Amino acid sequence: MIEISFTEADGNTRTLSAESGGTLLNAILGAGIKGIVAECGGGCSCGTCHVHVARDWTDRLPAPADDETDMLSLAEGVTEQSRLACQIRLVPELNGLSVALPGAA
Amino acid sequence: MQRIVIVGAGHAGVQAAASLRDQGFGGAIELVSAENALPYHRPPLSKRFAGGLTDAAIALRPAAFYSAQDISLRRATVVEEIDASEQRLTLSTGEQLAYDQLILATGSRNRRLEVPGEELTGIVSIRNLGDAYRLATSVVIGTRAFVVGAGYLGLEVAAALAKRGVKVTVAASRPLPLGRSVSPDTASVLAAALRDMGIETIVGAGISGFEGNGRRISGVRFADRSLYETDLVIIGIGAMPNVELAQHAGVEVDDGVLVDAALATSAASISAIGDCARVRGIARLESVANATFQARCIAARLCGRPAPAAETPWFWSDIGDLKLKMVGLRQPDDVVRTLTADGGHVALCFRNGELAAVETINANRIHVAARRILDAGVQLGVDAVCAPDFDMVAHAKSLAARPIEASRAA
Repeated sequence: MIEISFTEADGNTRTLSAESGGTLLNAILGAGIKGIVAECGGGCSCGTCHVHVARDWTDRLPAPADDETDMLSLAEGVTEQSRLACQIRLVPELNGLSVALPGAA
Repeated sequence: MQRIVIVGAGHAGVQAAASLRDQGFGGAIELVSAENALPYHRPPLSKRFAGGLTDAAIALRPAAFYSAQDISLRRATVVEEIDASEQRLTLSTGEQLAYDQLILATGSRNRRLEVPGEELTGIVSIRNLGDAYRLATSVVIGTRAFVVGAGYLGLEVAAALAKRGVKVTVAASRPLPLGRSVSPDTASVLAAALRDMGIETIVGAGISGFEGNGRRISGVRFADRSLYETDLVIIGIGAMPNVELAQHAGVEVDDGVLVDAALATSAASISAIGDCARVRGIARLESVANATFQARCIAARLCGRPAPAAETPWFWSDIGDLKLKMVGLRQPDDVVRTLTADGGHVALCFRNGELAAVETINANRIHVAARRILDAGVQLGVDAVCAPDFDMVAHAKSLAARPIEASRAA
């Protein structure tokens, strides 16, 4: 199991557990996090699963593909830490990953 | 305790259940699904069927979501009847289920050709997971496929099959693909791309029936009696709303379960959302974006919360390597200007001189910018947009950012 620290829009942080091999989005949806709609089902088409990855983790993730960068280009609250959760595959090396919803305190 | 029953567990139904909990609804939520699979994303069925879809990969939510959110998901259960005066459903299990509020999210089903031979093995129409599996397993080396219909579904399947080396012929009713949905300019770009994929298109050939070798498809019979040999037929000629359940209960229907702007039907305590619903006075929309938006709206209303900010309708389709995106509802009379931007194709559709819809192929940045501009309700004239120094992305960035709460939450 992989543990992820997730900060919700209200600033509360909780720990999510997920199986290796799934996406970060699935882990978030499974935990019933509010404010993530994720309309397109991991197709990198809707841009509604925008998260901020903690600074010390951004370099440890595979770089985003062009599609992902394009969808994020005008997302609300976009920063260098922005990623789409549907494009992050959870591998054992990501145990301890820390992410937040944009706008989280 | 209040009980809200949702009929149908597609994008609309599942999002309604999720948004009800997001909005703080503390009563019982019963989500009734006629299908046995964990509720799943439908768009990948016609786009990525060849890649081996797993149930977990396309689930709308992981199984744990339903228990964690205390949503009672009843799979393989059909609602047989609504008793609107008693506010009670009869289920295929024989059980009666009372509701305080009923949300119909029954979706749509594929149209049939209604010609002889349509029941032959090897004729597929993609709507559910089983259809996609059947299609994926029908393809072997040397398979020839015949796709009826040049709409989104037909073209997505055609492109995916062509990529696997299948010889594909598409039978279209109009000269250009997606002729009913996109501008002739965008359709022409698509037509050229389909030719490059090796896909052959036949226009206007009436299909009178299908011929079989035993119970298996062997050919398509045209109205002029000629026969086209094929091993596989995919039918994608549009969908019709599932309104019968509502209709039998006396709820008003007309190309969809009719709803008002608040998504209420003509019957007390019954609402309808997604593909099956039509807002009075406007055309019915079949899209994931519409389904999830209406789901968030109904949840807000039933929880006594303000409706989420309006969204410009948008659609997407992946046809092979072409990422087609549309924002705004194009009308046939719109004036179209095309340009090449962001390395892709852009068609700008103007109505009464103002930007009303934007179609893009492989130009996601422009799509995202156009969505931002149209959502903000900013008026943009032909002259401004077509000026040589106009930059859609920069213009969108300059707009005041919409608050995150309004656009994403709920």
